[in-house]
Amino acid sequence: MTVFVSNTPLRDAGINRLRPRTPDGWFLLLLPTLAFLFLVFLYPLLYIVGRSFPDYSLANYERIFATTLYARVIVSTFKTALIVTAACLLMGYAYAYALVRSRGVALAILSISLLLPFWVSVLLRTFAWLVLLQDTGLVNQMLIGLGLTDAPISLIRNQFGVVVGMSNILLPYMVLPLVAVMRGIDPNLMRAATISGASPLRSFFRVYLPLTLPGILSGTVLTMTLSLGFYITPAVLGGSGNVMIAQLIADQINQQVNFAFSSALAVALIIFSSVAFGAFALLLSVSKKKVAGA
Amino acid sequence: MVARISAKLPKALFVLLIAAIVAFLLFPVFVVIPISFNDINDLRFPPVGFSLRWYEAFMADPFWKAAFLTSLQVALMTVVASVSLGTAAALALFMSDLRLKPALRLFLLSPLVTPVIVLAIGIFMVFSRWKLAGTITGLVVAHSVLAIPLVIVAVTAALHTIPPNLAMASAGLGAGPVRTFFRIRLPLLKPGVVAGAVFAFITSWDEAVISIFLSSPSHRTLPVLIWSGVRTGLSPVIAAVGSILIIITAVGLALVYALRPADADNRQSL
Amino acid sequence: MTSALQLEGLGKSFGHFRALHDISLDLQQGEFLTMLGPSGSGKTTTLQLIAGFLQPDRGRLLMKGRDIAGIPAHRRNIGMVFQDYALFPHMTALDNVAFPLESRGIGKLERRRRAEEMLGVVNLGHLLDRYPRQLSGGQKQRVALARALVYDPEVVLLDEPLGALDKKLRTSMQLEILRITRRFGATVISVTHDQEEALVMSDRIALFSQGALAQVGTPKELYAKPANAFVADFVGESNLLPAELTRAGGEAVVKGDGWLAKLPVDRLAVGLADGQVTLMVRPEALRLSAGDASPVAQRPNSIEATVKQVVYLGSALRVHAQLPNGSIIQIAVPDVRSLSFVPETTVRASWDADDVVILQA
Repeated sequence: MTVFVSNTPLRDAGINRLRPRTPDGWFLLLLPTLAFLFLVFLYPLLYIVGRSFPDYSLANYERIFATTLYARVIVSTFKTALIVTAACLLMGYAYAYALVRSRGVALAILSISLLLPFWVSVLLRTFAWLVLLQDTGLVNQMLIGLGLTDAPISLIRNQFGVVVGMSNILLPYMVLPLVAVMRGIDPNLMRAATISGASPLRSFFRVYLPLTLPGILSGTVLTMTLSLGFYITPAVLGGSGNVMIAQLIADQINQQVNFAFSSALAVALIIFSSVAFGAFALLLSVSKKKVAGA
Repeated sequence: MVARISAKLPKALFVLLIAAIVAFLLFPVFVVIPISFNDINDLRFPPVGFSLRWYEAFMADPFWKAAFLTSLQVALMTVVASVSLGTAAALALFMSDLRLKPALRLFLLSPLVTPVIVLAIGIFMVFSRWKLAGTITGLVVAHSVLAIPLVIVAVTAALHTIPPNLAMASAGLGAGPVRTFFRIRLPLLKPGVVAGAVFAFITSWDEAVISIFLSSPSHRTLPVLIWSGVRTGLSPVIAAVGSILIIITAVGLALVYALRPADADNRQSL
Repeated sequence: MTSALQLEGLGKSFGHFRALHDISLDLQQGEFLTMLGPSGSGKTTTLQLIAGFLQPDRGRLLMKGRDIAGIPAHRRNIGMVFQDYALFPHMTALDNVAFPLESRGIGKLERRRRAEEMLGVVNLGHLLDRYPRQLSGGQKQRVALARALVYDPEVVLLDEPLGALDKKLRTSMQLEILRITRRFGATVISVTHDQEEALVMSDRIALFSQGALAQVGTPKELYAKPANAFVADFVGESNLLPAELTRAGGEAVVKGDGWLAKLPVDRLAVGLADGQVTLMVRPEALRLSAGDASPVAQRPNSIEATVKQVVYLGSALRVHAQLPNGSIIQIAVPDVRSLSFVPETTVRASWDADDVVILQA
């Protein structure tokens, strides 16, 4: 516990500052965690980068972009991620709005419905969708029961299944930042727009939507980055026509035993995620400035 | 009256839309439980008959039983490792005045936004060389990477709820920072640490992607077994196992909710 | 004179709570009316009914004779300044003021011209491109006022318009708001709980108490002729003394505990019956002299009291004196140099018959 001791006059420091100035002491407490993450988080990531350039050659990266199959997978990954993000944004915006506006029981229902699934394993929820969407599953039973179709429709092993499963899992990541931003909006602003003569639609598009833009962007960047790396859900609910990068990375290890190429794909995934993240982060800072009026 | 009705229609549609989204969110969670009681060898919903045979099958199967014990062992060890490392890091970040703090915080939280598949193959390749792949230690270490940021987030949130006046009052009464810390901050930190522990447990208990790569026939966790089950054939046993996982998750969250600070209600925090 | 706005028997309940009952008001074109009252007295609810943010349960709202019940808030052509201004944070001052014009489909050039002109009127012509964050409290207030006036609304509502400003700024903004709204001949309803603000700014005051109107009248009427003890107490400061009223010929005799007041019967409110009443006299209507212990009957329109406290207010003195029955009255003494009233001396406070009001007990 000598870690905590420093030679600053303790009492004065405690009175004058909430956080006493003993940086060396507290910093030592951080070292084990930093060392741990350097070793088993950062090092493996760097190892992948090194592994992707066998003998300092770019061959693996050339292969990614030269092979039609891989290029198609990258395009399809982005396509799926975009559809999922759009679906989450549409559902999430309405949901966040309802959550911010509700009180009492409704608020409790909306919060629990968001947070309980959030903590239930991705694998299990994917499994549940597999059960629900299969040819003999509940959704097809209902469609047939309602007379909308005679024969079961294929709802899995295709992009539809992947989008349903992924947007179900990622919806909370869209809703939470939106709720945070919507909570901060003064309700009188909407009244001011209304009394100024703006129709409900105009009030929404000219006042509410611009003020929630930071939330839209944070939610979108989170959902987008996370969906680019999805593995379990597309592997279970998707078909051969809509493989995502993560599946390719896993297959290269499990089936092809090509660690170097798998590493190159992983690096590519990190770069794509970072680019998506960076682009949205840039938009976010611009939009925040606009809203803050700086 | 016409105006009133047309004004109410969009609102009714909106309520309907939100109800549909609630169903969309909850349905996959709750559908697993009824189908686990099916009396036939099929994942039928609504279930046909009622029986506990799939729970019995789960108990009788040595593979499921072993996986359950492995999962429990790994999750508990992950809690110990990530709570000690995460709490220490959260305290250090909160208390210290380092210039580097924002950068360090970003680094400590970055496992949360790293694609898990990338982390999985990186850890797999490195651990294979270190002879950690396929061991309990390997699973615990890997799960801790994912759990530490969650503990940091939970403990930091608790630190921010402690009124600064309290620390200052204690200091004003003559207690030094060390004493203030142990007598005032640490006890008030308990809800945050418990929340972090629950999150760490759930993370490890549910983790599938890294575990798929790191498990060996002798050390398989429940999600790994579920994964191979889902890929090969859909047995109702999976639904029974899944129900148990969901119940444990719900109990953990209820625990966090019960232990959160009393004034959390007023702040309407989610 | 045409009625700009009429409220006819408005009522509103929230669950079992009757927030408002039977509110009737008639607002003239160009009039500045203040709705005054303690918090929870219904003034804000009334404002929201007029704005269209709430719907009344009972009664009618007429604007220039037309019932506006079915007209949604955004088509009522009403202007409003909110308590915290509610300026759109993502728009410049100019865009904020141009917003109502944009909503009315006015072209870009025209609305820029009108918004600029309006900001000039409120003396902000040099801050057109500032965002609300970059403006001071008083400047935000002016932008909010410009936004509420730029489209020439039928009525302008001010919800506690000066509540967020400090005391000094408040006084100058009171006059500024009057200057600007008068210039446009705007019909204004202002809500406040600050009686001083109401007295300074209003043509008429509507005083609310527990969801009903206690009195409507000019500031002078409310101050000089309050309809009841609540009004007397809320508007300005007053001494309220319980008494008994008897009429004798053309003279009304009001007898209190150790004092007697006489005044002509025609000074009594219509319908006031003999019996228990309250005499109201303002602190500044009382004159102090040395105590003389003369019998009550010989010295009507005065009362003997013991000085308890003398408060120095800079421009005047305020004497707190105790009556024989133990209650305290306040007397305003305009001459700061009259320091002869030291505590525990006996004094006589007297009034002119014209300066008292007899109220229902």
